[in-house]
Amino acid sequence: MSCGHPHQTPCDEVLGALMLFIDHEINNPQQAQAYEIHFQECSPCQGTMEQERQAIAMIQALLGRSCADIAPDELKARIADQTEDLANQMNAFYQSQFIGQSQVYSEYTRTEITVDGVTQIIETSHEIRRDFPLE
Amino acid sequence: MAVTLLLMPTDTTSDLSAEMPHELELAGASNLGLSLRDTESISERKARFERDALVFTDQLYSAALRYTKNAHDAQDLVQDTYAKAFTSFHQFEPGTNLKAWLYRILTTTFINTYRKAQRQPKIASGELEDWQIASASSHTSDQGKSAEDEVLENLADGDIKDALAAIPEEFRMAVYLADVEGFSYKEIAEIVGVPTGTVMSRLHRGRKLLRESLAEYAKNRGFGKEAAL
Repeated sequence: MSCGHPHQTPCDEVLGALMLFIDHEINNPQQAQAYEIHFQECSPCQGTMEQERQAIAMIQALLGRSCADIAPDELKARIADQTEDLANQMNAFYQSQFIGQSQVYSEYTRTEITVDGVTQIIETSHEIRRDFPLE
Repeated sequence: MAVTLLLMPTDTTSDLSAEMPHELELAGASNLGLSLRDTESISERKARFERDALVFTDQLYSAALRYTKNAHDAQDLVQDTYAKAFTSFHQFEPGTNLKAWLYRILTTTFINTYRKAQRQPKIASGELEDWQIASASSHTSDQGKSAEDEVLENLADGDIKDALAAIPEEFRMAVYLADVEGFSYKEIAEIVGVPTGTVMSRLHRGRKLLRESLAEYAKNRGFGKEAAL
């Protein structure tokens, strides 16, 4: 298939990749550029491409305007409740892992004071206990 | 007199640190989305989910309507999607495409659950052949802006939705994801779970079917050339 003029990239190759070209899905930049050059040289291919581009743009415009539904408030409320519920279940689950157990933290501080070459060291420590009572 | 003061709050050791619930893998917790590797608390995760994920409710609902073709199933599908999304939200990598991630859950849930319930036949083979035939195209003789486009612009939203609903599921999904949501072929391939070549062929065929269907609607509504004569 040819328009009768010689091109570096043949017409049938370009026409076979029209949709990819229009959708910006030609990942090789050199190839995309070769097609651009072809369209500049070959007006029949250019015309076919423009027509196809318009057809796709039309579908996108029609679908875009007609398929913009808004979710009902009731659904949004259900999802909010569900999220709350699941979060509570998750919290309850992990807390249940520690019921009847205790956590003990120990914290130390060490203070070093040097006055005229004489060093004094002050150390403190304390424990924090956290209980998870049985419900 | 030189005073050197060195204050060193040293090792804070603990049997179970305060952050501990989020640093451990708890047995059996994965079902509840409790794989607590990160340092995010559940209330923090919930806040992040509400902020980042719930903004897509309208869009997901609109897609669910196209998938299920009825409002009741569409609502259930979106609710299920958000339940799954929240319980696996810790697996979602922040900074990656959240919208595509949600669409993937929506689409997978639809394919695995609702489609079975609706007993819709899966589209058979032959898609690739169609694509291959179509790609062997030639110059069309028809030049200039199509009169058909102007005709299609007059179609009501309801007709456009009906025309889309009438095309087979695989094609409908591809067209919706590409032409309404603007996903790339690669994103659609991940959302639907098929190779990109299949996405391409479905999209090509789907657009063609939709365009034919829209032209038919336009003709029946009296927008076509026949009616004008």
